[in-house]
Amino acid sequence: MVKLFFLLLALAAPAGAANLGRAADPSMWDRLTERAQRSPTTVEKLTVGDTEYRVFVVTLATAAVEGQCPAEMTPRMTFYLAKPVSGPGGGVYPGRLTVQCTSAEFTRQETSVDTGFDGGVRGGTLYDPASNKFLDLEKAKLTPKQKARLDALLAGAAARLLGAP
Amino acid sequence: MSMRAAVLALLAFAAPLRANDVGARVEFAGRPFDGAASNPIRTDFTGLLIQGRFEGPAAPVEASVKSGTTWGPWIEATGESTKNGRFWMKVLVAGRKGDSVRLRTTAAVEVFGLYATDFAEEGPGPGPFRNMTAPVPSAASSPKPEVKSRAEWGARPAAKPYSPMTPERITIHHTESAQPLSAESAIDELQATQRFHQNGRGWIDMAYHYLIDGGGRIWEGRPMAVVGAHVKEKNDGNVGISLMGDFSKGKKKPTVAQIASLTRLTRWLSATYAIPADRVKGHRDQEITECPGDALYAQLYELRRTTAASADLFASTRRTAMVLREPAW
Repeated sequence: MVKLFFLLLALAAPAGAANLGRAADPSMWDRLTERAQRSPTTVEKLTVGDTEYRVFVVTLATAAVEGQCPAEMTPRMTFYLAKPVSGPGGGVYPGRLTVQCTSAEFTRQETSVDTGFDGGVRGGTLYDPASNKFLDLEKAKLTPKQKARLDALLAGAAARLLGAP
Repeated sequence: MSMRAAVLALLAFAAPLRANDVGARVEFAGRPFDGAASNPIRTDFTGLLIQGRFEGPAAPVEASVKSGTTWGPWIEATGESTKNGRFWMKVLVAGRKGDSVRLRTTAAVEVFGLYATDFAEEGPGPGPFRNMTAPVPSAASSPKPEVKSRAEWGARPAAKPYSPMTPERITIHHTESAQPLSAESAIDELQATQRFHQNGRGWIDMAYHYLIDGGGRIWEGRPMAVVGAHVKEKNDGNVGISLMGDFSKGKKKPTVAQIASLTRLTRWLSATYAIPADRVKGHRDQEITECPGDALYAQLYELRRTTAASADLFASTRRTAMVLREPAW
């Protein structure tokens, strides 16, 4: 189910689309947001303009995406849920899921997606090892292989995030 | 103490040059310094550093620098003093060589030392702010510096929503443009930079999280804890601080006020977000670029050292440590 959810998300990310699609499985979004609020790794405060947000962060530093990062780097995945506490909101994407490679030197964005309140993907980037380039999900036309990679990364991250205590 | 006595005190209690003071010691040959000229200063310098003690109420201290045969305007020194009258001050001037300086003040003052210093050339080692030390509680060692908000410089809203992030490293930049000294000119430069980044670069907002003008004012760029646009493909978790100016080789140098504010901001960020000192880097450490320019990059060793010292304070509440005191401007 997880894979299907993110596969559909990935397929719903064609080039040039301002809105990259809605969550095919709203329950998955609900589960992720519930997970973030129930047992966040950290809760951070964020102020953008007149709006104050509470950001629930779930981070896993385990190797959920073995083989995706260079040897000297560690895979890491993070889910952010930004909820307005006061003010009109709208300054921050409500959801964000990232898969990264990190080291003491720097963090490389493997892939990330920003989502709306409904879990629908609004934008993001995907690292493409074949071309060694970062693809803008709003602009790039993903090949089937790239879409599959995006699916695998996000599905793997979501599964581990949901399965974590 | 009379002015003449003060000058004698200057000679008697002159503090030694610190290892990183590359400038010249300034002496007045026993003459009063209520306007009298010093000996020639045979080195490039960008500022004057004074330390001493007021014997009564504090009063402004002013300096004038000679260029060729012409004396420049009187410039008021800035700095800090303690309850017992001890003070240190500095006067920033343009880089000069072979000139003289004169001082004046209405206060009864004892001057311990006066140095023509090229602040920007300071290498690793104690900086000019280390001479005044005091044990303080660790919680007070890294207070949040004053940051002028986006509203104060008339920032335009971001073109799109931001992406949240968790700060875990800091990258130092220069804007490679003007080095405004006044708040008014800084606002003009900030607005121009935002327009360049939004309209020219195509980013959703100003690239950096913080910018520091030539007068040391800290300005909010993007809100904290959202992804910036200052290191290609390595922006996640990366806080961008940019000093306004072009510090490339042969160009300008960061002012003392800029470095002081950068130090306070970095220490506060490090303490607040638990960012270790070795994750404070220059832009050029992360991709091929000249940024942040040689003159600023040369300061980063000391910046990391200071940040690490601050972190040590947090690591042990029992430790009594020497901490930096910095000017209040």
